[in-house]
Amino acid sequence: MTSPIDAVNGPAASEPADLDQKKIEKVDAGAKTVGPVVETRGLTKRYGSRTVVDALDMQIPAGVVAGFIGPNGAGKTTTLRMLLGLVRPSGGSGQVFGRPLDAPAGYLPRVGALIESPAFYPELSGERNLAVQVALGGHNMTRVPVVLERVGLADRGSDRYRTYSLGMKQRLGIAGALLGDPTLLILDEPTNGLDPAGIRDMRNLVRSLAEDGPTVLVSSHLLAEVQQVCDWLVVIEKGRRVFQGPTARLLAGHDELTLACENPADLPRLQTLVARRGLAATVGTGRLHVALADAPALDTPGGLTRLLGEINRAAMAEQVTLVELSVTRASLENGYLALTAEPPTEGAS
Amino acid sequence: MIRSMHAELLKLRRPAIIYGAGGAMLGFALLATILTYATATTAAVSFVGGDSLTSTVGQLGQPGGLTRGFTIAAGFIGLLVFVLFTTSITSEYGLGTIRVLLLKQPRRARLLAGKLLALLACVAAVLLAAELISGVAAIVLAHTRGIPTANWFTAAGLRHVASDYANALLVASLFGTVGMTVGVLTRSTPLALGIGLAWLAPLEHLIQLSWSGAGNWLPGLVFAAVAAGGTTITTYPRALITALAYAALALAAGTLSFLRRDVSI
Repeated sequence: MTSPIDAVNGPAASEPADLDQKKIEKVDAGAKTVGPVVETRGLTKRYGSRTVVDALDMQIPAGVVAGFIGPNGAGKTTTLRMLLGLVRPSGGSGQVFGRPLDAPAGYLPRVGALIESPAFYPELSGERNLAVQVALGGHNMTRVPVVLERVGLADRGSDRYRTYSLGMKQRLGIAGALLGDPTLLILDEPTNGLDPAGIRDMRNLVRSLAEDGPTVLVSSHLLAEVQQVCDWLVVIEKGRRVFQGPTARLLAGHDELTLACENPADLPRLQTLVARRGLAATVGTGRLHVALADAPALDTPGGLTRLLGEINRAAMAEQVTLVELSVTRASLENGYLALTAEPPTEGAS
Repeated sequence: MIRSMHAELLKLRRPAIIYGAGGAMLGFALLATILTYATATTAAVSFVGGDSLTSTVGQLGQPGGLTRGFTIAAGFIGLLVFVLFTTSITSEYGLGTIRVLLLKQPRRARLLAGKLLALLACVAAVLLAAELISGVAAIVLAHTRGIPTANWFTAAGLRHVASDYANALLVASLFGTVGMTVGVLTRSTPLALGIGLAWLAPLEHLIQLSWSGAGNWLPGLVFAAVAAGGTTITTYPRALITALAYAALALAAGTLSFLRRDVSI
């Protein structure tokens, strides 16, 4: 008997889970061996009676692409400003590269940053704007063409900044951040205001920058973007941390298996069959929805593939014909919403 | 600080700055010189220090006659310098570039000092050009008005050229320091210029109408007195000491604010 499973669920379905596991192990290993590039303890910022950042404990391991996510007004930008010495903490402490936040001159030469919108002099060309930063930062002027090339602005460097599109302005901002060949790159909402093509370009740029080796910290409220780029997450809400750890760890609890039978009347039998494997399932819209959060088989390589095979064989043995068997990868949005609806969760830290 | 200066100089090489601010300063110097020589009278007029813009032909024939127009212009140039220094700092906040500057140079005192020195270096160059243009115009106008110029090119005349330039630069520094402080404190171009220019120009003069001692104490009037080499109300040394005290106070307040305040724009 030919199973329809092959048609609806290719072998690739098992790969993401395995990859996620490897990512978790890799990121965890990095966090333990190299130590955090950024670490805050009880970091707090108050403006009058309003607490914007509330006793934030955060760690960013070396070598990761870290997403710093939270809704607008959650305190992301204020936190980044404190990390960059622009804003003084009201309480708590923090370190970047092991140097305290109250002495930013000790670590900022190793940091490149784009905070909020890019800021340049409209009447100067892109090149001249970067030259100003080179002079101020004591960088080598030969870096200007290099970074312009890196962000795809080599042919527009001599044009005035005011003639640039929003996407080009963002890229010039990143070029400025790269001038010092940083080992920590901090990007605050780099896709803000960009159209879909600009967002895609920015995502690819961030990915390629991360491949060059620096630790990257990207703040965003666009969860789908963060999910595609980041392997480490710090989630904050109302100035407080609600999650910290590998992205894959947050997502792992929210994958879902969807099963559909040729005869919908078989769904209760299928539900019982799945329940025998310790999986919780609910019937809805003519399908069986199985939460994979607690599937023990997923902890081992190829575990998802074996689980799918077992369910398929068991269904066939019970004379239940499956017409759909698919795994829906969890979205960061689901994970985030689940997090913010629950009490704060400890991640890897 | 050298890096900050270099960066600021790169920014200042903009047409708006060169042709706008620089051109305006040169234009003031030229206009003041033309008016000085065009309105020079042959009859004796009351002339003490810088109170009067009108000179006599005899006075202009003195060793200091060559730079008389430039000296008169220096007070007005001071207001332009105030605007230049104020906007140079407020525009950094307006554009958000202050964030970038502080990321590249987190030592804030060095950043501010470099900026101040770069602007002063530019003003020094423009004042030199202004004195040169004013001098050339004075020579041409002196010939047309029959004003003797023999005393201008004596040692005393050249000392006047040097001291008038130094004094103009000092006045520009005073206005610039106060301008930068107002910019640092307000962080807003309209607010800084509104407060600064309103205070330095009409308000102080209005106060002076009802308070005779205002010329001894109010900063704009004191700076103007330094530019003019003293007035009937205050002597040059007294005006200079008061002006330097204002500048020191402004510098301390501006630096402290720049070092301490959050940059959350």
